[in-house]
Amino acid sequence: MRDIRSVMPLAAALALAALLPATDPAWCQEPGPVLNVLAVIQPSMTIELSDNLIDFHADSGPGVYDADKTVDVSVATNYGSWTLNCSASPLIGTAGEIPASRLFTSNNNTLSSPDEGAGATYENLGAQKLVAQGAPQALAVVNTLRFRLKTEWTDRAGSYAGTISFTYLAEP
Amino acid sequence: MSRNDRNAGPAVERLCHLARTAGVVLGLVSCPAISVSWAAETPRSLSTLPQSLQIRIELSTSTLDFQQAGRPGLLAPQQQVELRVTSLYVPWSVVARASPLVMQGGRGQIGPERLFVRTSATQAQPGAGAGPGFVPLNGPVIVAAGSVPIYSTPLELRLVTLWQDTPGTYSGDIQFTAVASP
Repeated sequence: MRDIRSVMPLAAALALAALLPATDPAWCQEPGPVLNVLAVIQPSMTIELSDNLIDFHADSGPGVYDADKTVDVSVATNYGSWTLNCSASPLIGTAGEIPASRLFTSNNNTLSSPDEGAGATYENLGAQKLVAQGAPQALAVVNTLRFRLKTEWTDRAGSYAGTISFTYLAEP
Repeated sequence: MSRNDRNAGPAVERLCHLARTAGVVLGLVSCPAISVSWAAETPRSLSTLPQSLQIRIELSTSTLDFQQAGRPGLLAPQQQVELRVTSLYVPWSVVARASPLVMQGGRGQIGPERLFVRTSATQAQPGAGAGPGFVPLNGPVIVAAGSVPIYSTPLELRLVTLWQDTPGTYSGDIQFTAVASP
């Protein structure tokens, strides 16, 4: 017959078990190592245009001509605040140039202002013009730009080419 | 590890299995005695309750770097991480939980739901956002579990960043916890 003393530790342990929590007792867990995690996020700004070429078909004598298409400007950025501007270079041709001040733009945010020669909401691109401003965002259209060109009798016949540049100012 | 130590592994497992079969409490009493013979530590009496589980977790690195140079998205860390477990108790499991990544000197933070882990022990969650098998660390996640005294597994980690995450350096941690599963 088994000595009762041999089962006493087991009985004592069983009694102790009854006192332990049913789940997740403290003795069942032990803290281990810690993995330090570092994430470095660099500033990011993406500007996309729906088209990178616009044409003015000024083939009916001097006057005001619309560009053949509008241009959607899309922005994606993680900057806390940003401002997007555009400006134009003169249009250079074989027989001369058309100054940037005769290129005009209008967009969804342009307020009606005194006519500068191409319509009430059109502003000349002789100086930088505001396109949009905002906060962090995924890629989305921020504005749609319309362009006009005013030609004069002094502009010689021919082809002219130039650029409209977009620049941004941003703060993290 | 000596030959005796190597031979002791299966013996430990068998004895622990017997202990488990007998119940939780029997395991509590007998396993410390088993650990003495295997780990060649100072013998303890059978009546001594364990002061520690003696489940040892090691990581191949203590720091993990995520670098985002372009657009936000799914980032993989610069380092490979391997998790090693040495345990006198079987079965065991390892649970990971992450803190938010807080921007240094700023107000932004990246929640632990955007930090993901994948191991052979993680359960796939479709559409969680980081690829098949990756689970978010927004709660305790079992990253390893076993019934062997020595185990290792690679830890794959991913971070999802958004356009709304302000540029800067974020820091946080992942805490690993050993859990005895008698």
